[in-house]
This record gives sequence, C-alpha cells and structure tokens, in this order.
Amino acid sequence: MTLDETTLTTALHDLAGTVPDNPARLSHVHHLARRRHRRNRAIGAGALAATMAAAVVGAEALASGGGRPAPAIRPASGGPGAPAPAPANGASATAAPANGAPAGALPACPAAPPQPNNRDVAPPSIGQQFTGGGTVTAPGTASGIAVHVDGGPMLGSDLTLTIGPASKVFVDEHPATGTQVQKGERVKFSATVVATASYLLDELHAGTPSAVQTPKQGASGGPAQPAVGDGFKVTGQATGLTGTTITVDVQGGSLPPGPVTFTLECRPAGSVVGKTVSVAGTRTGASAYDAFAVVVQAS
Amino acid sequence: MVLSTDLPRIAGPYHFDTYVHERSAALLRLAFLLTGDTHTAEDLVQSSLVKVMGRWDSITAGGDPHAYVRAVLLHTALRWRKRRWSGERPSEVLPERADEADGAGAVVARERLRRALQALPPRQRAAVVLRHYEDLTEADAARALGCSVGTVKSQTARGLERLRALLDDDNGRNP
Repeated sequence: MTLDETTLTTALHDLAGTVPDNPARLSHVHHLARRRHRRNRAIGAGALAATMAAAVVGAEALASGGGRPAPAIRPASGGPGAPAPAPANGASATAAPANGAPAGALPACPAAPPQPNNRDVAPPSIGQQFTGGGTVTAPGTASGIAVHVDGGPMLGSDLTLTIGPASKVFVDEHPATGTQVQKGERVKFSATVVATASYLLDELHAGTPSAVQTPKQGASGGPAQPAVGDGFKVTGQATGLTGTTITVDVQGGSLPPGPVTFTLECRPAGSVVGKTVSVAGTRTGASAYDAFAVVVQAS
Repeated sequence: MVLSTDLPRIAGPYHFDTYVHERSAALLRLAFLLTGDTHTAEDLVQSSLVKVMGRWDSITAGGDPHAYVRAVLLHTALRWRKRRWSGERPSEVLPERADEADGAGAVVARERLRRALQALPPRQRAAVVLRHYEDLTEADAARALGCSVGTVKSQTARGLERLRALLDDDNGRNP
C-alpha cells in the first residue's frame, strides 16, 4: 500500500468502517453511570456528614458567642440562656432532640446520615471490613497503595493498603494494577483490617476528579454546579415543604441562586418554611438533588 | 424517605440518549482508529460518554456537543494509552485472511494500516486521524487536542512520514 493523502483518507474510512456497532451501548452507559453514582454517594456520605457536623458546630459556637438565648430545643437543665453541653446519651431523654443532635443545633433530620462526625466512629477492629475515600500520597506499587483518608471511619489517617491476590484495583473503571495508581489521585476503597495498622485491600477505584475541564457556564454567570454525584451545600430561604421535598430559594453556596427543589433524604424536625436553611446533599441529575441534611440557621 | 437509585434521564436541547443513538457509532470508529482494538474502543466510548453525561446540560448549552465529546474521548484515549495500552503485541504474521469474497487484498491492506497506525506515537496518531479521518482543520484539531496549531502541523507531518515508512517496510516484507 502506498500512501498519499487521498488514499490515506479513504483507507482510514475503510478501516474504521469495519468496526461493528454495539446496539446495547446506551444501556451500558446508563448502567455505568448508575454504578458510579451509587459508589460516589456511598463514599461521599461520610465526608458530607463531617462537613455538616462542622457547620453545625460552627453555627452553635457563633450562637453561644453572640449571647443569644438558647433555642427552645436546648435541654431545660442548662438554665435560661446558658450554653449547655450536649446531653449524654440517655440523659435528659425527654428534653433532648429526638435524634440526638447536639443541643443548640438546629433541627436535624431523624434519618440523617448515621454519624454526625466520622471522628466519632470507632475505628474498625481486626477482621472487620471498612470503606473510605481519600488521596493517594505516593505512587502505587505492586504490593500496596498509600492513601490519606478523608472519608469513612478512618478519617484523617494515612494508611497503606496492602494488595493481595484477591484485591481488585480499578483506574477509571477499568481493571488495573497498583503501579498504575498515581500520586494525587482520588480513590475510594474497601479494605479489611488484618492486624494492627495492617489493611488488606479488597477493592479500590482510582481516578482524577477533573481530567477533563467542565465547559464554562452560560451567560447566567452563576457558580459552576457540582457534577452529578458530587456534593453541594447551599443556604437560602425555605419556601415549601412536602413529605418528600423541600423547596429553597437558594441565595448562596454551590448552586446558582433561585428556587431549587430538593428530594429529602431526611425529614427536618419542626417547621422550616420561611426560615433560612442550610441544605447539604448530592446532585443526582441535571436538575435533581438529594438533601441529606437540612439545618435551620440562627436568625 | 425517598431513595433514588436511578439517575434521571438528562434533559436538554439535544437529549443525551438521542446523541448516543445518533453519534456514538462515529465515536466508536474514531476510538477504533485511536486504539486499534474493537473492545478497547467500545470501553473508551462508554467511559467518555459516562464522563460527559453528568454535565450534559452545560455541554449542550454551548451548541453541538460532538466536538466536546470527541475532545473528551481523545484525552481519555491519550491518558489510557500512557497507563495501560503500553503492552501491545505487534505480530510479525498477519492474521488469517478473511473470506475471499471480501477481497483478501483489501483485508490485508486494512490490517497493515491498522498495525502501522498503532505503531505511531499516540499524539502523532491522534493528529493524523483528526486531520485525515475526521477531516478537521489544523485549528480544530489543535483545539481538540489542546495544543497549538504548530504542534498539530508537526505531529501530523511526522506521523505521516512514519506511517509511510512503516507501510513501505511492510510492503517490502509482505509484497
């Protein structure tokens, strides 16, 4: 075969035309997206809960520093207007918020994420499996991957996950080896504690969060929305509440200003309509958002 | 409590599902030229589509999304190539010939071209494919690859030169 530009173009089209199309591609793409979405939600919930807990603690500190009277849900034993420590489990059960939220915190969802703060979670014991998310701190090797954990029960730890014969490593959803995991990549993983400070990797998914730039927003000039599967946090005025949704006129945070309806993953205690609220959750679609936490801000 | 397990279908001026139906076969052909393997090409297309799916509204807001999706596919291919396609096993022997009705000569020529393409460095291959298969201008190819027009020119020229040499060599060994 000799090559000039015309024959090359023809030959390339001829070669490309031999590839059979896959009629099931669309369903495979949706399946892949759902799997990625579920994984992101499962791992992201821990980090989100920690963020919300920090926000609640910050709001509480601000409220008590300002000398405002304690909100009505504060346990009566603390005295009028006096900042009171959070009730211990079982103490003042009738006065404490039903879901055990910190006193002074705004009404929390009864079905909020299981732990308000990952640091409160006991580290897994030997033989126990756990999940987490974090950042790779050194190039992976065939025998292990070093990760700084920022989500899950080992939050804040630097772990080396040992790769065993049954360990599975994926990079961008494709099977890979430990050596293909690079420093700085985001990972989500499950592992088993095999001994003190020894963790056997069960499965790890790695990928660069922003390998491809998001195109610029339109003329609205609002903040760039988080990608589907990513978390968000906004503040605004609650304008409507149903059994499954809350509508908020968003005024700040990681979503563009304006009314947004969130699907409730938890039920805010008390009345929130007309109040300024913070909502945190996950974007699940083009204009679909799940709210894992709804917190009324101190007025 | 409402737990949504399905992602809602993406709405927009150009529906994502419609795009996949209409344009993903073209992406597959491009991916095949870049990877040289049908299954890897399919994986590449699906991964690229999943990447753009979550941002479909903003992508389509800028007009025809194809150029953007093609750029995502290119960058994914170049990134994958660095990591996991380094173990290609070029064969000294051509694969078995297809049935004679197809024209054995054509089959052999296609296979030689596929192998020669795969022997090019990834960026040269991408430049050649974008210029001579996708028929992009140098400026469009530069935009898709995220490099300068000068780089596209030099990569394409070197790619063509190397492709010519490889095919000439192949002709010499398998006349």
